[in-house]
Amino acid sequence: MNADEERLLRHLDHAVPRISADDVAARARVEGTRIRLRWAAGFVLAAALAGTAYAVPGSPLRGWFSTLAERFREEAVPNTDSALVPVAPMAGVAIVPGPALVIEFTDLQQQGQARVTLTDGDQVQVRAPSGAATFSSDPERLVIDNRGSTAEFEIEFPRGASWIEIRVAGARVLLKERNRVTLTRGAAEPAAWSVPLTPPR
Amino acid sequence: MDRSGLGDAVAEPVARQLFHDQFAALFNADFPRVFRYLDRLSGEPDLAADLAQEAFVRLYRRGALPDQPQAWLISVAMNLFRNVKTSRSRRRRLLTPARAEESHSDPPPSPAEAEEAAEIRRRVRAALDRMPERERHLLLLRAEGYSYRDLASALALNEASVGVLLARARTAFRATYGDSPDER
Repeated sequence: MNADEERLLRHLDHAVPRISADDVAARARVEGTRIRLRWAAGFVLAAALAGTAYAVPGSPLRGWFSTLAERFREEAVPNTDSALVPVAPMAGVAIVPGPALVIEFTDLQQQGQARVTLTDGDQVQVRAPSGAATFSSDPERLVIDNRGSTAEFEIEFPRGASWIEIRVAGARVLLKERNRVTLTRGAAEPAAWSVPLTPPR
Repeated sequence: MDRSGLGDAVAEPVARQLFHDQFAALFNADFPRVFRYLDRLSGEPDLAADLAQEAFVRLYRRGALPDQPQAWLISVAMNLFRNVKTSRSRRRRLLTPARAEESHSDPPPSPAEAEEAAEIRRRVRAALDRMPERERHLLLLRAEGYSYRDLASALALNEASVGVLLARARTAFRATYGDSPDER
């Protein structure tokens, strides 16, 4: 930058607010506690909903859990004839979105994608193998810290949600605006969208 | 790498104090320039203050400094600003900052000087708003002294191309401002 450019930009400046690092640290501690409680409440609610759905006669979740249980049983007995993929325990978050929600993956991954489907419920749900990411949320933003992860994520949007955006490392990759879903990257399948979490080619 | 959040990531009192000291040093050095970058970008000092604070709050909640903390802060600040623009939702005010007092070491400007300053401000704002987004970020961040490495990391650029893109940004700024300052 030369002096003239600096001089011009300085015309835009306002006084820097007088805030201390201690003030920000104290606020961060309060925010962290509040968000962890909110996440825990959301997860408990999701677990309760899953339990209710499981209890409904004819629920497909029964078959899903049976399959998982079968896979774990098979893993306990070594099988050299076939390659079994261990199913990792899942973790996630469920939130009721506000009028506009941004789902933000903090980082690009070396591999992995997010698969998005629509539901008839009123919650946004995000699931991933336990330990793949940490979640923090409020009604306007759901941050998925996926640094170092290679996981596959499952995301469910309420069909009636008016505006939900997915960003990966700051770039929009999917936007649901009322009934319309627009992909910047990824592929559309029947009733689902696959969003890559890897760098664009 | 610990992913469980603030309370678990900094369990030991000594480690916690070390992180706090590192954070405080980084905050004191970088908060003014993150604020100034956001202020120049948005033209809204209250919004810039909110977003700059939010970026540092998020950094503190990590419990550990990232490998490139300056680049990390820029990325977060940029994303926060972008989301505000996109959603137009008003953020909660995190703190109520006490505004720094205006410097009174110089005599107040005359009406003519004030009018000239206002005109320059308007033209600079218009010039920035007309620039391509990436060039605008490059120009404002470089003005705060961020390294080419930090710029490349924050803007997902090849470090080798930052110099060329920055030169392009400066040219675009001068062209849209309609002035021709002497090159150094």
